Amino acid sequence: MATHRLYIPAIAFLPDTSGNCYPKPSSVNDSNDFVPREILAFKDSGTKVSAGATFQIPVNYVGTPKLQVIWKSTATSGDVVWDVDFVAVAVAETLDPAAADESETVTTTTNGTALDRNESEVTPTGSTFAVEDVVLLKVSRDGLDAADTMAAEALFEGVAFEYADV
Amino acid sequence: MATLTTTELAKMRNTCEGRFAPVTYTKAQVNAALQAIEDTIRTTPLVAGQAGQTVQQITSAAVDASSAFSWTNAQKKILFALWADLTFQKDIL
Repeated sequence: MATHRLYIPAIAFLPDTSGNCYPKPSSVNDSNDFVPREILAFKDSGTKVSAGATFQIPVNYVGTPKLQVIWKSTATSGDVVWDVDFVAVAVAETLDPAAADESETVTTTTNGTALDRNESEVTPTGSTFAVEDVVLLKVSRDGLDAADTMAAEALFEGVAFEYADV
Repeated sequence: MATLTTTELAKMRNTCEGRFAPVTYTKAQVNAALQAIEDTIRTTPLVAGQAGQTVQQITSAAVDASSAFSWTNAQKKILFALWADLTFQKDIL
């Protein structure tokens, strides 16, 4: 059995229409700008803001799924509450779902060094996904949650989908 | 005195973020400092009729007492400016 990771970069995500989640060149906050790229800023808005993307469950998927939100911040203290909602869609199932199959939440304290990588991991139940399902994925910063204490943008780089094969 | 709304606080926090980077305080700490300015200026009887320097000292002390975070004088000036900008725009318009 081996562990695999599928990476979905921020550029694959569509922000909601709130205006509090938006694409941003990483260089706006980076000092070195060694690798120019587009990320998503989840503003400290006191509201819940979201972005969505899709990916397909690989054919060698067996189980042990994890979803890791990868982000950074200019802040050196404070916590971010991430909500991760997803729907796994098989052939002949709706691609216009009204609710999530599963919703997970994780609260992560930002790194004590600005712009260092943060990883917020949730563990879906293994039964949610099946090989070749298309997964509709929504990642939200829940600023309505009192546990979200970071007074700065959460700078979202992407999501990694981790799983085990045979 | 008024309780600053979540929208007002978020707007001021967003401006602080750009000016104070790296952000070393939490939402609760900056919210408390801004609310302390609001409460002090609008309701503290000591403020009325006092010299500007005294008002400044009273307000500064209120910000200090609002949380465990140590705001610098430069940061306090910015917090006050943000509060004043929001308040006077709101009151005038």
